[in-house]
Amino acid sequence: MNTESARDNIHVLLVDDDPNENLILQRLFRNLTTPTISLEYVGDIAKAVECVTQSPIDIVLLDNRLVPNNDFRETAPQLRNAGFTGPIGIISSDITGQYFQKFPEYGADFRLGKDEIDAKTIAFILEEYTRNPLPDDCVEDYL
Amino acid sequence: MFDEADRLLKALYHTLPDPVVVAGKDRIIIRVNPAAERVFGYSQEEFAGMSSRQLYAVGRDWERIGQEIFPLDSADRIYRGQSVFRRKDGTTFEGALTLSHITDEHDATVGLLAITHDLTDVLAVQAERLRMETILQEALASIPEGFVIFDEHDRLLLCNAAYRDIYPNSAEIMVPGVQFEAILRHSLRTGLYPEADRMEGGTEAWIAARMTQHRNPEGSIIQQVGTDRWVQIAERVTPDNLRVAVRTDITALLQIKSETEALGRILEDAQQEIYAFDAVSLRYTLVNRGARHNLQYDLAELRAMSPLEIMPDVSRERLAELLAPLVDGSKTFVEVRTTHRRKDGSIYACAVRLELLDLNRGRSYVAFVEDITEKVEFQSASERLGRLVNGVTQEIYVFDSRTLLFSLVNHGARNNLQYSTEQLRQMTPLDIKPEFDHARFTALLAPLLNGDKPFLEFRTVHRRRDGSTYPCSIRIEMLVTGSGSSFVAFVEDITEKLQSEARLAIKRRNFETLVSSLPDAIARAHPDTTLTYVNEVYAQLVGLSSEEMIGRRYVEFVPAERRQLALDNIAVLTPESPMSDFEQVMLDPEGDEHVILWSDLMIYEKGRAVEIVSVGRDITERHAARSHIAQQAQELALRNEALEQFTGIVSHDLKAPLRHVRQFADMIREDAATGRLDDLPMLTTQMQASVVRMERMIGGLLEYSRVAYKFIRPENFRISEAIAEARNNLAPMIEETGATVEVAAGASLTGDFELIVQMFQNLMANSLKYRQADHPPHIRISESAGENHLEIRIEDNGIGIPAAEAENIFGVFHRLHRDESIYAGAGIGLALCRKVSESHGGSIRLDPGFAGGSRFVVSLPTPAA
Repeated sequence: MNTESARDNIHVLLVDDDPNENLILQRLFRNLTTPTISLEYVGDIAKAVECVTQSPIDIVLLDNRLVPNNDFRETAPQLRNAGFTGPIGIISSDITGQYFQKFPEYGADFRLGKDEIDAKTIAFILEEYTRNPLPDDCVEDYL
Repeated sequence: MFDEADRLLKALYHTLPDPVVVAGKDRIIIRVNPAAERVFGYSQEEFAGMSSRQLYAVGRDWERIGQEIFPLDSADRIYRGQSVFRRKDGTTFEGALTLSHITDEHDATVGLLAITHDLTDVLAVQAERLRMETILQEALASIPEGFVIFDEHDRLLLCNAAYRDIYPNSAEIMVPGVQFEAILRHSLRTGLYPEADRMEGGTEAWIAARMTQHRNPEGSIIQQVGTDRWVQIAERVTPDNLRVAVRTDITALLQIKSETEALGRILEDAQQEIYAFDAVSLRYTLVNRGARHNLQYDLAELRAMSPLEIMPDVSRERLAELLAPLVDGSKTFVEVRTTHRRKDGSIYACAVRLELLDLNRGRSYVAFVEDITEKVEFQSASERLGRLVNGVTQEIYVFDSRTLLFSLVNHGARNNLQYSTEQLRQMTPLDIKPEFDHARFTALLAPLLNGDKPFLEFRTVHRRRDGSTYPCSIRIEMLVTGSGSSFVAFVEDITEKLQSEARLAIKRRNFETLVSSLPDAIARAHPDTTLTYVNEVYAQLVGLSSEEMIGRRYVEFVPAERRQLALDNIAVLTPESPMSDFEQVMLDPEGDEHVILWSDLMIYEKGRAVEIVSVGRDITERHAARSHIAQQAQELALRNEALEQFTGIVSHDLKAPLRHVRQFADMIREDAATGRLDDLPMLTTQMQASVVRMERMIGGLLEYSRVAYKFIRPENFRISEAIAEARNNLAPMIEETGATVEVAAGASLTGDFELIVQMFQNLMANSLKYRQADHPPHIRISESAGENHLEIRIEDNGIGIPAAEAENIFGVFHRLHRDESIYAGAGIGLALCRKVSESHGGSIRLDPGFAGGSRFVVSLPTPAA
């Protein structure tokens, strides 16, 4: 994760197999003035794993249903196993399924309905999950 | 609280035939099981609200138990004891009471559970057994013979005092459990077996020989014990592999026999005339055959005479002179020449050698090695034997082997038969044995006479003088003496014994009747599981007779893989927790599977396990119902999950294009408001694509619901007809792609023609759609018939499907390829195929091992022949 000083430029990774979502999110981020957001887009989880291991990603927005996987319970752990420690948000057209209640067990930090995504929400989430990052010497016991 | 009580009550209700009473903390009865109604005589309604005190015959018992179990929060939550209970009709019975707490989920006591086991029969059997043991002990103590039983491991089981008296040196070690060989060696060390020292090979060889006789007894043997005691040993191995032995002290008999035989041989067989006469009366006491023959007198005549009457030349004074050296001891014998006068008056000369014989009864003179002492000894010994025989309470008879006339009947026999000695001397055994005639009785005795058997044992009845009869057990042996042979009969009046047996048989029959009326399998076994009793239900379940099962260990009838579990179930039993349950799957003789719930109860006496009582209830139906419910619950959960997934997918996939349209519209509006029109063409194109996509999805969903929830109209047709119809529907696409379709299937099928056509159409459409770019698709459809199903394979040479997707592809809206510009579709086709196959009772799957394209395998049931 980037340090405090880098918060003005936030790297967001969108993982979604529908390119329309990238198009829509690009438009939303374009309307945000601060911080500056760089949106990376990949269409499957394999490319997402590659991306988080090779690029400085601050936050991941992960589509719940990524073909061929069933849902985030199969994909979010792959990002964690790849060593990504930043926030992961699950985005979906419908987050009412019972299994969404268990998102913390699978390494996700929040869930978000796609119809809830607008400029204000995105700004709030980025602010909430990218400020006051934990120091590097923080151990898990503090959590 | 009551739910918990109900649960426990039902469990006990199904395992125990004993009364189970559930009461509240106030000891007021809430519910009982049917056994309680049966045993106590109250109805369920009468029990409800009744104080448990009413069930106790003695109120103090109820109070005492109350003091033990209260306060209810004490650590000790189980009470066991015995009490006397009272039934509704006022009768009482003694029962074992187990009282335990019923607790709620917080482990707080909410009530009491009492199980009462009626001990009436158990106590009666115990009392009867005790009585029989006492009778046995008294009987053993009363018989003069040494009686001993060794168990199958040759350990002393029991012996009477007479047995210990025979081997006094070893009496101290004759305690139950000691090995026969240990007793033998101890007696040997203490010098009880002088014959062992004389045996070739030494004492070890003697022990080996004795052990062989002991292990494989054949007839009876005579054993010398100490220097002057002789014992006859009759050993027998019972069917239970017990060694039962009777030791009879025959010292006196042997002495009599040997002395009598010796005298008889000497006196009778001697060529010389030999006679003896009393030194005081001078009357003959003994005259041998030679003398009688020469003198022509019989013995009775001679007994009334003195030698002076046959010695005409010897006066009384002369005889006194002759005998004087013998009297004063100066000579041991004297010889004289004299004459004897026969009965007919004739006289013959004879040399007489006279000796004086000192006997207990006085002095006699023996002429020609005549020993009157031995004659007297014989008589004395006979009298002693008579006293001995008279003294025992057992009935003893001696009768002549030829005439069968009684020569001796002891006091016990006379007392029972009510005849006098004089009357009996004129009678034979046939006079008191109404079941025998002469021919049958002599046939019975023949093996003794022939020497084929050492003794006979049988049961018959004796008739008393007053005409009444009594059953008796008889042992007959042969007694051979120098004067002839006799039979000795030892008779035991077994009236009481038979009555006891009859009473026990009635109890056994009652028990059998009770047990046979129960629907449960019942078994009794030793603690090592060796069966001692098996009821008919259990025997039928195993497919053997009760007799075949008894003696075998019941774990033999438990499947090998469950055997250790069964043994473990017994191993955990303790006097504090003597009962446990165990489920066992058993196959009956017809091969049908039964689930049996065994309740094993270990019975302890003074802390030692003595018996297992097992009650097995067939819970197959209950078990099946439980499994069925579990299976239904599992299926329901799966269906719910599938439904949730389905609605999730539908709502998710339908929402997405709608949301896109809304968001693109928002963007257009925003751009229009700001005057930025660069993105408008792209945004309208995307909006249009989303609308098309949604239309396609709604269309697919409609198609799915039309097919998925369609009522099936079954008809008979050939597979090839359905394929041809599907092929027709796809003709334009086939022509466009240049595809070839090869059909090698023509079997008959019963199903909904329209749905089956739809299924083939979807599968073939997939093959056409997901084709390789560089060559036209080739579809091959083949079939093979199974035992009760038809397997149809639809394979192509397309781009194929990853094996990992083998199951996912059948989901609604599940698409492997999102890029609709290459592969357009709603993701409904394969979901429909699965729905069609399953609605026909079949299945569809992807063959993940197929290379060079895709292969779907459809399995459809064929009608039973």
